[in-house]
Amino acid sequence: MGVPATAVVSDGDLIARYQAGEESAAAELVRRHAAALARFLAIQGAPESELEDLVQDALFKAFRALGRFRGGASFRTWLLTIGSNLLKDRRRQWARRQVLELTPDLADPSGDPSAVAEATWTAQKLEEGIGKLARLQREVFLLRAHQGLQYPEIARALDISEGSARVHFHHAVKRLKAWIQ
Amino acid sequence: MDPVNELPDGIARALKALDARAARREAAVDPERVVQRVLARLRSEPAAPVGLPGLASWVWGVPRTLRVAAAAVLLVLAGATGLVMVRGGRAPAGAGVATLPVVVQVDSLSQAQAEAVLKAIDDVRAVNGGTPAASTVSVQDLSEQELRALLQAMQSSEGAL
Repeated sequence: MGVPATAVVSDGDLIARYQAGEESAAAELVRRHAAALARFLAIQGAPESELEDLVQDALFKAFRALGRFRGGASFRTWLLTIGSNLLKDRRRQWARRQVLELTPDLADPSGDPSAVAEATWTAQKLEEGIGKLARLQREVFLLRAHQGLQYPEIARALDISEGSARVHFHHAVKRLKAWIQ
Repeated sequence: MDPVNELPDGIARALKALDARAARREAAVDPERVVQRVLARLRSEPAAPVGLPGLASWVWGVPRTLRVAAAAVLLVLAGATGLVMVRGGRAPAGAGVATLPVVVQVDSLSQAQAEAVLKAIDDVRAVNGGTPAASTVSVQDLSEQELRALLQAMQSSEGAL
């Protein structure tokens, strides 16, 4: 009897198989992480019209940089940090050519209009606030509050100490609180 | 502990709303299309050659904390050896050497030279029964024998480089 068909292959195994030349392993890694990466970039304000390109570029860069992936953090966490850095670079380009969001988010029409308006306003305000944070504050905040990661993994992913990660999170929350109020 | 519970209510609510918006944007991304595009790029764009050959790549492979520690050691070393004043009066009497003050400028010491100097000091201390402790070496504490070894080490390492 072989391995059950439902057995989940770890990211580490897929990476090793890709590095050994198995292209399907790369495809599986993309399938596993593309959506999470897209959401992580979207919550940082990546425009919908650019999102797929960003996701594709970040994944491509990650595969090209696999030799430097030390496995301290998970592949997904590492990928998210690559995506964040890429987004930061792209913002500079967009600032020069003024990218406009052609398909603005429409709030759920089924909800109460005033609640929807308030949710839209707070979401917008938080997105602006996140954009104003220093890089490490932003990344620690999102990895912790959005991805639910523990401080040790965040610290490994960002190459900082656990204590430093806690401090960045604390400052990020303080600044966002002040910004939203 | 759920990280969201660490957040003040206002931020937690805003984050939830922002995440809902992000989820709608995420839905516009087609994972299968991304798979095809990534694979196509991996096939068509050759991997760049490894950028940091030899020692440099090894250095960047070392954990950051160790790199920082190594840099700190080198800084301390450079500071400690910034200006070594060897007084002629400390030379052995009757040794036939010049007794004028000798000023040894060592702020341009290479790493190899610095290592040779420290090794020479340690060797002499070990022979004399002292405790080799390079980190606590102060030029003012050096004996005549150690000072001579230091000068010899500097001269020999200079010749080797």
